[in-house]
Amino acid sequence: MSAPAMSPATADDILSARNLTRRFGGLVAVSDFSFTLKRGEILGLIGPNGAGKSTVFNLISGFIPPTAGQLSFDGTDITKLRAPAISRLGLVRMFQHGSLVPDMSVYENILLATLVRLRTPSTRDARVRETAAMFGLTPYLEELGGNLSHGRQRLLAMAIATATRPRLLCLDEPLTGLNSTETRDILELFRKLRAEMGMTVLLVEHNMRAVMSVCDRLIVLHHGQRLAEGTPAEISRDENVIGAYLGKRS
Amino acid sequence: MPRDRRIYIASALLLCVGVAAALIVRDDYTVKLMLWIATSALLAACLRFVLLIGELNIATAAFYGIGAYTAGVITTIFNGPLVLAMLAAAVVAGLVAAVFGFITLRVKGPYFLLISFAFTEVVRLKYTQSNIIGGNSGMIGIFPPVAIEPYYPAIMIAIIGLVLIGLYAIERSPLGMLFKAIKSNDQIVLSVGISVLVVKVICVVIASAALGLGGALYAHSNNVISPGDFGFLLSVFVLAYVKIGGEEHMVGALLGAAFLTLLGQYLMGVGAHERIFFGGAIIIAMLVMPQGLTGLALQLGRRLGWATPAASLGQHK
Repeated sequence: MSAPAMSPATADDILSARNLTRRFGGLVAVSDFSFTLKRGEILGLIGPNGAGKSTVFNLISGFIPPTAGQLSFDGTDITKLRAPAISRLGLVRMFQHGSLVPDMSVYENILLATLVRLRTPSTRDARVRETAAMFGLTPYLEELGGNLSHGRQRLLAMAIATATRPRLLCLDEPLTGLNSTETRDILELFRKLRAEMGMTVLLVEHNMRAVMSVCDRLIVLHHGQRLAEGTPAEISRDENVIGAYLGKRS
Repeated sequence: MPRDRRIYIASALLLCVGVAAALIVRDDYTVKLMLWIATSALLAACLRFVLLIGELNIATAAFYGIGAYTAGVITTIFNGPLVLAMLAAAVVAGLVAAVFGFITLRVKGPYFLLISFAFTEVVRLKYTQSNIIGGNSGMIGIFPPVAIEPYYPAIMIAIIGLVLIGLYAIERSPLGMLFKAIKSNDQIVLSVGISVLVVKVICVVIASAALGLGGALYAHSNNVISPGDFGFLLSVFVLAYVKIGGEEHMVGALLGAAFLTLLGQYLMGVGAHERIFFGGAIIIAMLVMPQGLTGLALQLGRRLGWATPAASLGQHK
């Protein structure tokens, strides 16, 4: 597959990755992958298991360094920065599993996110309560994170990430194991986060119906490379994608 | 936070009682025993402090020793003032801990434990090879100034008490919350923009500075220090204090230290096999009360209807 044509970086781009590559020994998890995220969009990164989605997440959030390629976030070169520094710039991720501290209360979990960003106890407290309210967690503030239902744990994980007031929020399979009501509520929250805070969202998700409904644009990753890119409607018609990922059309 | 306030008031009272007792009691042995319990409690609290980030610090003994030797050198070799000796002991132990921590805390796994063990033994051997600090036989004649000598036990108990209260306050602060979060899930801490390494190093530095100060106090109450006082075995005993007292709450460190120090004194009279009884007591204690003395006390309290169901120790509110 030929390298996709590079669109020149513009001020509209909040994140751009150029020729991102990551090898683990002999395995190439992500290979020469380039993409840009526009300010304020909800971009879905999809692909079959093992396509390299989580590696892309780890690379852009600084949890693992790229073998080759460049990353820039809002005009800053973040290729060599580590996770905490990238987070402080406003690129915050949520993990697929265990994005919370189970033996701390909901309040304390959200409070963690405010520690390096807000200086006074009162502003921190206000931020925690405001964020909890946004995610419907106000009644559970004193509850231990580990005692929440699975759905609320996902909400808490997102609340922690959101309490940092990120400019770019990266969510790794936030909908896994949620019922349809919970899924709908969370998708509604994405739209709200974007509308009210101007947040850009990068979403890795397996729930196709949800991805198709909430994302402005999709990138399909396959064997660590870009297979297709376009609007949800375009992607659902793309022959390569259907063959590789969605399965045969009935 | 009324529960916190109660704990601070109770510890302040306990501190006053301890200081008063050290001033009133004329029996030397009893005073010595109180000082042993106080230093043991400090050691236990410092070992537990690093357990908050999930690391077992065998070098607890080493940093205690570094403080003791630093203070001993300042007061006996350079004839420096005691206050300077105590400050220097805390600073030197803290600085060494900063370097030690930056090297050993980068990676997860048993490395910190193993290197802290090796470090303790290397430092101990270094003392034996250094003639200026007495080599194998150690340093002698480390005394507090004559003017304050009668009050020294009271001063020592007061300082240790304040350090313990300070450690507890840190544990309850946002920094202490970070320690707990790192132990449980360090990725989430990284993802909200906090360097896990820096927080871990801060934890070890705080504990070590407190240990250094404790070592300085010990050196001036014992008057004699030798390399053997600061081997890894000391840390193992201190770990027993923490485990028997109960790890969940800092009170456990105090209880465990008091219990095992008194038990050790009692068993001293039993003769040659004291260590066997000591080991036996530890095993029985762990079997009967896996949560330590604090866990046992809490259970009793609940049964008697004293403790409210929500008042589980060690839980942040």
